[in-house]
Amino acid sequence: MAQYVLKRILMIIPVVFLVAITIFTIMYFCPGDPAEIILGVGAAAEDIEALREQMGLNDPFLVQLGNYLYRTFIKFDFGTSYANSVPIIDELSHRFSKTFVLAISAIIIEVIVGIPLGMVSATHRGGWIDQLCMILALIGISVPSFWIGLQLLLIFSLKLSWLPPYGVTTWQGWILPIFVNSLRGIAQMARQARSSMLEVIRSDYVTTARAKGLPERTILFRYALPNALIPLVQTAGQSFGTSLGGTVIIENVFSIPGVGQYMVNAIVTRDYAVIRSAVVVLAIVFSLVMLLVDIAFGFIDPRIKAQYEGRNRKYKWRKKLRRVAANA
Amino acid sequence: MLRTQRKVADVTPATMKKSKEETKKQSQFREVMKRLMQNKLAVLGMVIIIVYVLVAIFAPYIIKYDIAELNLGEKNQPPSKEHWCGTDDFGRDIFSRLLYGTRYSLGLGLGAVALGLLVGIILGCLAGFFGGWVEEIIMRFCDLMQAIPGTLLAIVISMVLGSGFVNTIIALGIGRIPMNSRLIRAQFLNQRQLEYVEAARATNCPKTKLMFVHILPNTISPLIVLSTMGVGGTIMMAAGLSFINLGVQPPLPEWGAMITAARQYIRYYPYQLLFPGLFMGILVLALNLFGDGLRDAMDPKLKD
Amino acid sequence: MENNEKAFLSVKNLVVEYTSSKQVIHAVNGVTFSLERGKTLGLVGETGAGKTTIAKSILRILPDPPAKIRSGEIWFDGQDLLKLSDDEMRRIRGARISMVFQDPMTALNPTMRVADQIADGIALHRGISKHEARHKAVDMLEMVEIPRFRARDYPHQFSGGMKQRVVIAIALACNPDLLLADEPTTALDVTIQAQVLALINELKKKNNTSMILITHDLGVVAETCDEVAVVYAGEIVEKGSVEEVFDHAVHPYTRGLFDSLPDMSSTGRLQPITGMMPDPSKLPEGCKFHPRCPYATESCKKDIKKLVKVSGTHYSCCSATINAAAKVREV
Repeated sequence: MAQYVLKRILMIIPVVFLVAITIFTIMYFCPGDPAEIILGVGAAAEDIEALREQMGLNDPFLVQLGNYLYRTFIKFDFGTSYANSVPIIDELSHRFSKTFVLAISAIIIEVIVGIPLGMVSATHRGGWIDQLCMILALIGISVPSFWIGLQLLLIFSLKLSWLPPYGVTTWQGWILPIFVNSLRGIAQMARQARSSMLEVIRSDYVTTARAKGLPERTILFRYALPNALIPLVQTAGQSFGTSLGGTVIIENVFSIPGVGQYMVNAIVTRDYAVIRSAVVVLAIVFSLVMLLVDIAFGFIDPRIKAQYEGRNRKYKWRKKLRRVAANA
Repeated sequence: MLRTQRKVADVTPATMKKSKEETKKQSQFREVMKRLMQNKLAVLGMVIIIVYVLVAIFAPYIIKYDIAELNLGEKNQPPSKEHWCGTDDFGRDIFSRLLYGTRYSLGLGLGAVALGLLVGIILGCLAGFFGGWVEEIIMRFCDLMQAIPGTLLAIVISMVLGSGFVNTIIALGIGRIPMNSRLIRAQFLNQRQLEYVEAARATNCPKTKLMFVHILPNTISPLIVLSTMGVGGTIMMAAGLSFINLGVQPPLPEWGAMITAARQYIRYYPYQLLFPGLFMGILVLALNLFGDGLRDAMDPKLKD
Repeated sequence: MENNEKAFLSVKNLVVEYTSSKQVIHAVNGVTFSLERGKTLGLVGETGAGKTTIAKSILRILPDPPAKIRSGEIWFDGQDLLKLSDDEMRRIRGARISMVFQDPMTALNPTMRVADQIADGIALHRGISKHEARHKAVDMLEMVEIPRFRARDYPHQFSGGMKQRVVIAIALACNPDLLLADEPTTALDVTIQAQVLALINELKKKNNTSMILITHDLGVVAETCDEVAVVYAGEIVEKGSVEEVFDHAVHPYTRGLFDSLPDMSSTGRLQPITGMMPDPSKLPEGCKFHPRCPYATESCKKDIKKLVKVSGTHYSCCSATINAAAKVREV
């Protein structure tokens, strides 16, 4: 298992680099001259040229890329915002926790609400619980989250005044953003869990378990559930990507000072350095979470685990065999 | 999914008996349609989709009010007989704008999905058919694209391309490519080992013909389901982009842009916000109902 | 002949249907047979004839919905299994009646160690601790010739033959009185088939277990069974002792089965049964076999056929051929 984990961790390094390179390359083609954006329209041509030189914008692409990677990964320097010269890393680091809380709590809620809903639906297939859950889930994946967010904001914050209309200074402020950000994921997870469970319930090994005379509860929790969970781990991982991207919009709806809000402000001012850094940071976080998902996979599915410890195990057998032979 | 593919392959094993193959394929299509028609929810979804498509096509002839003309004398009116969904802050009829906006939202959804399909299928075919370094490059490209969460990728690309209808289609379509190529490639790997491919090879069938005429049709059905559901998701993502000042921007009556514009009046004129979301939600719901029905019809095993 | 007290297992008039949204599939249509303790009954027939459904009905593990037992009685050791409560039935499953499934590749839980899969049935029915049960499970593995040190392995680490042995170990873990073996060798290589069959036979003899062996391999029946019942379209068309049925096959379908076997001694062509099994949602009236039967008369198309005694324990539902056979015997 240690081998597997180690291998997966090593594999993440090139991915992180390539993601940074890709984003830098795409953003390189952004329209407009950063120097002009910083100095504002109507700045003198000489000033712009001087700033370009200073920022290294006149260097060839590869040199710029190399500098960028060096600063980002070796010196952890993301540069400064075009708008106010504040170091981006400072902004990101104090905003990041809010975005992360929003994304991670959404995924946790998805798992603890969505999976049981799907399981209940599958075990009561065709019943009214199943139909209700599936209709709700279908609606859940069919309405845009920011629209739902605005409607809930209108009802609970503006009309009823139960919850604060913006900010997350109190815990009540978190309720709506987290709920809205997890809504689509819950629906998706419930649908996935249901179909995964239905597939497993029909499988031969569940029939075998039934033929052994095991009680339904045991069959459900020891036989069906672990197998149904395997594909859901992947769904949860991808869903984390969605909710991470979703924070950009949700933070904007609920005025949460996170990375997403920082990004949206930067979109308005065409502050490319901020957007680039924010996207790279979020993409790296996503990669790390996918890494955790892969490791979790290894723990749940013995077939994956075995791929990586095969050699070890054979060796152990041989030792055991030798011991048996010695005893005989 | 694998099982369906095998079934499909069993139905069309011979490549030489062209006419027989075609009739069989037709009857299979008819079988799917028959099952689809028995699913009431899927039919409902289909009817709604058709209505939206008709609205999109004939929007200029249906609407009663000009979608762009300002009429400040009638601004921010609540829903009434004349203005079913009220008017917006420039006095424009929201219902007319919503109908006209179907063109943009549906166009964005269909356009981006079509782009993703086209490029995704080509890359997936190349990777699955040739293998080796071609496959390696394409698959690593897909890995890379999928390492960046979809929304963020769309944001970055539409930053580069700028806002606008076609640019937004491209920004959203690119994000769909890796998923499609992966699926096609996986299907190709399954199909490549089946006898009918061998048979076609043995008759010295040209590579492009083998790839697109023989293998591709057998790999496409899961992609159809995925793409139907994808149209809905893309419409919502396009609206999300409009919401953060990217994508299609006001004054174009794209639904997301309308929601964005209405947001500042949320406290006073909530109906301006309500209707665009409902319009979008119903279309996406219909697409998802249809997609679900299509999946069940193509693989009846999954249903019962 | 169906004496409830005497017969160890007796199935009477079993009718099972599968219902989907559109159609009703008549899987089993009034099957009646009985089995004595320690004997082996072979259920023979084509794929889709309803053999597996019969076995699963006895264990009451048919998926419901869509499957439904419409009528019938299944007497096992003095009690009607179909009248038992779910809890009572659960105590019989795995303990007194158990089943070996067709496909060993999918019959084992991929996320559980093999010994645990054997042990949980033992722990449940014997009321012993998990730990003791695991010891017994390892003994079972050794009995089916799987070395002890593989007990902690997962199913994917086993070959097909080994998996089937694990399935057999699960089925025999609690010394059942009745074993339902559903094509236990079909998915295996020929050499492994013989091993597995020999193993089942040996274990069965040791514990005086009765067995219903489902197969479409007549050779396997000849080797292992005492009695045989030929199933066609959800009905038993002929049954009797192996000698009776193999040597004096009466029903045209049974004869067709034997004719379609390759025979080393003759040089003639194989004679397959023409046509296909009827669609179980649209079964023909009268004798279900008449569309394929070379001897079909007008009455075969209308009259419902009942099993009629041929001789001894030998029964067939084809009246036309029974009369002919009787004449031959008289002469």
